[in-house]
Amino acid sequence: MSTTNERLLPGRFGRFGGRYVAESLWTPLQEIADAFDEAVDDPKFVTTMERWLDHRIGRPTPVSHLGALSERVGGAQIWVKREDLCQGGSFSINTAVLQVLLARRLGRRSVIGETGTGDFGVALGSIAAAMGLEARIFMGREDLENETLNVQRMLELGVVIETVDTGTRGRKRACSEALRFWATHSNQAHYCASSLAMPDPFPRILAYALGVIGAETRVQLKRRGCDPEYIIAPIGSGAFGVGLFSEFAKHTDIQLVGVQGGGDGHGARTSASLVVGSPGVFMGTHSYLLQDDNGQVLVPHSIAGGLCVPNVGPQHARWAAEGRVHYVAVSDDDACLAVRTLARTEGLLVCLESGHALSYAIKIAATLGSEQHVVVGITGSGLRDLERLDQFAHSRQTP
Amino acid sequence: MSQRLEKLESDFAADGRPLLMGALVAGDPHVEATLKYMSILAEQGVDIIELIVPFSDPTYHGPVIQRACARAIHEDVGWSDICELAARFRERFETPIVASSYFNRFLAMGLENCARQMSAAGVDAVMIADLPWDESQGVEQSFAAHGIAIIRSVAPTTSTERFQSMAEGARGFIVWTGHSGGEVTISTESFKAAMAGFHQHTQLPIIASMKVSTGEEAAEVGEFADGVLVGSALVWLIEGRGADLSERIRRFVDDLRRHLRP
Repeated sequence: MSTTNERLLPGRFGRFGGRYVAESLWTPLQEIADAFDEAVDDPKFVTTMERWLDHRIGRPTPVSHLGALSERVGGAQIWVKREDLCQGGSFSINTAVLQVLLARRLGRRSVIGETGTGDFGVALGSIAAAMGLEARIFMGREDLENETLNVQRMLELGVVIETVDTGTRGRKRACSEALRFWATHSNQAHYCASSLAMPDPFPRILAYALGVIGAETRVQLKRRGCDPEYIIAPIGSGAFGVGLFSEFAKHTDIQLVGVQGGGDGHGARTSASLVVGSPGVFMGTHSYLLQDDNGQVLVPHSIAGGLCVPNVGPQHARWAAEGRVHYVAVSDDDACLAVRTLARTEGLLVCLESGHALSYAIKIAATLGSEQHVVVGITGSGLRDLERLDQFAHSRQTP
Repeated sequence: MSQRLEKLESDFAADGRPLLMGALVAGDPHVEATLKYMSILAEQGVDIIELIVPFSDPTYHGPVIQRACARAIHEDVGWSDICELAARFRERFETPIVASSYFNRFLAMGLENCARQMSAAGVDAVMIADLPWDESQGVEQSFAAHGIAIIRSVAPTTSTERFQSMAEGARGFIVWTGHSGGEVTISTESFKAAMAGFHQHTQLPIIASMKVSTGEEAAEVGEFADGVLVGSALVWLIEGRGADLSERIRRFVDDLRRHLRP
């Protein structure tokens, strides 16, 4: 795409990534990039971050063997990495800790972010409250109306919620508004990203914050004598997936699978950018994107709010292009069925995003032997999805 | 660079007359109408016409232009329409045309292909809202090969040091984006200081986008900048329609022009 020496350009992952933003955002982003580079080189900062992760949000999270489910499927042993057990019930709090600490290091008084499902809003709100900063969260009206539980939680945490009028679900417009606000307030406020499909330095920052998930998983599996065949994660913008996969990317004997939202399962209403999309530049990054022939961005569809994004973080674009990670789509119905199956056999209620990965894991496990292992990343709890599961129950039979 | 843009540069160097740049969303409400509005702008002495090529997600534009883009997308405005518009405008006018959009629209067309077709149609420059100077070098080469300039944008967050590097090799003119669709938050003092700082490092005119919607505001901005970019206010007039729309556009532009020292 460009003949410029790529080493001079920030945030490249192979030919993907970059910082495609308006000039007004370039300098504020460079400030965050510099602050991040300095912070992670500062042992005091890293120790502080690790203390917050361990003593506050509950790291390490366990890896659980699902004996009953494995037996029911009748194939490989199924394991789950439990990010639903982080404070607040979602992996996103890990990214909130690092970014709010950065805000404090930069001397900012408040943090800004956007949220689709509300998970990141709750995470950012709780950490900001704990560190004495104000949190301002931008959220689309549709999401606001759909995620009443998380909206209540944010309000209780003292978050200032800015409603953004959009025609559809998903954090795209909310993100634009958050960035627009930040561009004129970057002296007082620090922007915190929840999506991996963002301009540099956010893909690097989120990968750093979430790398702990994969690092823990590898050690925990080893201690349990488990040598995984497959590691499977749900992929929306792909922050969680990068956190889980990075540690294993060099171990090429392990098959990594990223599961995207297949929507209604017929291919047209989908959010599987790595399955049916093509490379393009959107939301500040060069990556895979759902788009038409004219380069217009298509509206993503998925029952899981966290998967409802038209593009994906640049690390995944590189892995897809290199063939390191296999990306697949799972339909709304299959994801709901998997969540319900897990609840009935193991007593675990996980979110619909995780249901996508779980559904694929169940399919794959059935084709493997009982001495083989499949590991699934659970991104969060299913509390916020109860109503959607209920609707599913009325249209389908329970397992 | 096109002769039209070269002339703009040299005329400005000679007399320093303040420039008026007007933006329209191509295809809002339809392509024929856009051609008519472009002609009115040219007849009323607008110096540069920005033709916004509609994009599905115009993040860096305000609500007025976002709505206009949505209407134009409904009309299915593609690059061939833009090129046809430019070519038909060129039959009668020499006013420089800047095609502006978001990077993905140019990528989808193919940079080389896009540059060739626009050059043939008489487009003089492009502005890419989400392509900062640092990321634009390779892209600039592709366009320059066909005589099309990439207009560089600066913002209140651009330091004078950064401007110095950006101004080197800039062509045509430079656009100051003071609001990116939001409210203008910069004070008059800071605006004046930024302009003074930037002017030390370029001979090119700096045209300011400051949400100008009246002649008086144009005069205020024109005191410190070399020109004024009027976008949302024009597009808003078009959104309102009405039987005498052409006449109202004519009066609006005339008012801006008179306040800007003709």
